[in-house]
Amino acid sequence: MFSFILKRVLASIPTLLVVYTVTFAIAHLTPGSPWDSASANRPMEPAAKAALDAKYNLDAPLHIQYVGYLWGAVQGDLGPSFRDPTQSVTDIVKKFLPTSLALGSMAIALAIVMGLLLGVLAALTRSRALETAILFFCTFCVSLPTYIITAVLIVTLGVGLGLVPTFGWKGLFSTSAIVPVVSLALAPMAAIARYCRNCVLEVMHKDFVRSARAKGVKRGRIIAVHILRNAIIPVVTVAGSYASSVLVGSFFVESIAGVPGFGRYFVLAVSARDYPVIIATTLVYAVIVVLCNLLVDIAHFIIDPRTREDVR
Amino acid sequence: MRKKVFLASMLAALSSAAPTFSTPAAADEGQTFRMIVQEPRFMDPNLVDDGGVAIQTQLFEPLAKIQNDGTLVYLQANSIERSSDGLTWTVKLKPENKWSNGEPVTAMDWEYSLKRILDPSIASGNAQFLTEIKGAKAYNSGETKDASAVHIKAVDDFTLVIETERVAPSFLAKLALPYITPVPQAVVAQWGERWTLPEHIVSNGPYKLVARVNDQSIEMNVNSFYAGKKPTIDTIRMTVASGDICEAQLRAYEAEEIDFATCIPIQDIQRVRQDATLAKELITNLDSGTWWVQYDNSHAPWDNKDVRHALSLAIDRNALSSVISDGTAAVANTIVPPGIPGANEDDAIKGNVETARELLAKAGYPNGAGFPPFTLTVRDSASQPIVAQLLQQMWSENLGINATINVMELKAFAAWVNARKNAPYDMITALWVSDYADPENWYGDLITDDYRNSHFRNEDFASLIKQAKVATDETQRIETYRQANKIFEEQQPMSALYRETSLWLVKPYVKNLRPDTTLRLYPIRDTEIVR
Repeated sequence: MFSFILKRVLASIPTLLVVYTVTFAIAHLTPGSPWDSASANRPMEPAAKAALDAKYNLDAPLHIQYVGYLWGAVQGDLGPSFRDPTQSVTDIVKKFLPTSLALGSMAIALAIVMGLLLGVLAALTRSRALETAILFFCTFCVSLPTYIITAVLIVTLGVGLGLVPTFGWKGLFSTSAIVPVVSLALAPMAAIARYCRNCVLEVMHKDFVRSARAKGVKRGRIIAVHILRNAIIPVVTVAGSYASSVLVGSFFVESIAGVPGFGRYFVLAVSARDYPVIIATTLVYAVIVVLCNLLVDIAHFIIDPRTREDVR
Repeated sequence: MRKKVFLASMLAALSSAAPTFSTPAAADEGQTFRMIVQEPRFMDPNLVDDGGVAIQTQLFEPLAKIQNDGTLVYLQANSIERSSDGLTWTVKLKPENKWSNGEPVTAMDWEYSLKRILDPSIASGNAQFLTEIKGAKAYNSGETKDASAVHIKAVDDFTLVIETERVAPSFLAKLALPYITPVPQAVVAQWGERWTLPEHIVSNGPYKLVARVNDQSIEMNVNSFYAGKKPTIDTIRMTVASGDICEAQLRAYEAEEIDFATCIPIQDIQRVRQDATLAKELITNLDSGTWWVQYDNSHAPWDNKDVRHALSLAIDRNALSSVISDGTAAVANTIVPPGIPGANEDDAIKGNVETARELLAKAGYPNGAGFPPFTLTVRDSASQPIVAQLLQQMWSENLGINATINVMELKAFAAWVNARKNAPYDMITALWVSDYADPENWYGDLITDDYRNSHFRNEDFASLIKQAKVATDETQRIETYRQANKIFEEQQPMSALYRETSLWLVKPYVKNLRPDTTLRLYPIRDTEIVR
């Protein structure tokens, strides 16, 4: 198990290096420099621009900047933020990532619980109408873009009913979290529910389930031990891939609902051409994707004995 | 056990995220003013050169201000006198002025701050308001590193003497700008760039910053040391929005979460104006700014005046205003807005679509035949892609010429326009908003200094602007600008489209909140909440 994890961690290093290189290149190739203001009446004086370039080492050749930033990052120094010189990029990551992680964790937990419940219910119910309703609801949730869901929830729950604030963030355990959590949870919940239903239907007709029934094992035990345990394997894969995108935060959800999270900050950094923040946030995103994939593999390792054989 | 530890650590992580962004200590809601703002690019007042100045004016106060009616009111200054030769300006400060830490605001602070604005290493966009000061240009452009070569001198604790390079009639208007405010020398020296953090910052205006969470909230309390008119609102609570700030504001305003909204999304203007309650709370104010379509005057076919006239006369400006603002934007037929001395709407070119067709034929393109394909480049804002489509349609239907539209992201557009100094293009839409109500801000900064790269050259116009810049007789100065305006409109290097109207929503219990100066500031100092 340890060597398996070590192998996976080492294999992620080239991936992160490629991500860094591509992000660095795209950030620097995008038209507009950090010092071009989209809102000021006048362009910046050349002398002032040169002074800022010198201050942030942007006057050095690109390959020197590339190596310099990488060397700093390896040592834990992610550089200064151009957009806000009072904060370092490390400060920004520490400040904004926990909010997105907390929000994303809550959303993915809600998605897994609700997704499994709906999936099992859709598979086992004898009511055709209920099954159709669940499937319709799931298709609806997967098809709707999150920014529409967020806007609709704010208008109905916030402006219409006054149950939640229309904007802003007062912590995860406040009414301000309802809209972003639900918005983020709906699409993964629907996907998990559909996967879960299909897997349960498939496993239900396997020989070992029939044998268990024949032996007189109770229905609840068959569902929990024999069906769900086997049906959950593909569900874990789906949940893992959704988790990586939900955990780092969604720009749309965070912007519309006013959540000061990582996803929103990333897009603000791109608009501001804040190169160190763009690179750092992308790298953090890549690390989270790698970690989520690793966790999915570990989960498979635990749930599915066949994987353990493969690893050995 | 392991499960319990996991759950406990998850809960700890979740709850630790919560207080980080919890609202600052609750104040008496009756004395709290709530609004939504965009994250300011800077909290350092010497650096703020954009709309963020509306936030800064609550914290930092300039020497004076020019009111909506054009009269000057002193704020931090007791007097600003100009010498008889017009070159030396003596500023007497009010000795009772204090920073929010109780220290006096001195002439030394002002000398330090004005030179700091000019220091190229801090790259302040506001340096351009001070370049008329003797030695300022050389220092700001990096020619000299010696700040003492700039003729700004604190002669005693409360007297500041400034010398200008030449007679500069508009200098007083620039000194009265909200962009020109002092910073506390001792605090900046102690904390460097981090002096603007809430725990360090001190300010000289009616409010002081007490809390700020980046990209989430800004909170200000009354500055008890402020020597001017004391505010009646104790606390200003600003929530920071990104993305479409107008949409966030309208939703929060309708849900009674904020007391004031500074704009309305385009798609909601009609609904708000037709809503019985919201319509009563709507305050409209015509901006001192103009949107126009600008041709690259340096090459064909745009170097032909008849072509420029034809394109301008083929535009239905009422239709533009109707689509992008439900008719609240004012139709603009001339570039320089009314209220700026020299502006004259009678100078607008005359004619209609028929005249436009004749002029295009005269230029060699009857019914648009043979007109080269061209590109209209616009920024990706809420209104400009729509404006571009309407112009494309009007020119196609009225003149038979076809434009291709190129929409660019905001920063990319700004960089692209700045890079057009010597590079050809076809046309763009652009905006200029008055920094101060003096003609030099338009005829000088915008047109002569050509910040938008229109490549417009006209000797008669240039000579008149040169005369006006140093004219000491005010009547003669304005008359010279009027003559220049005539030439400019007749040449039509840019065709005015419309002037935006600020649409504010203000709750009925909020009194005395009015747009202030040409910059549409909202001085909360003078505002009251009467429930």
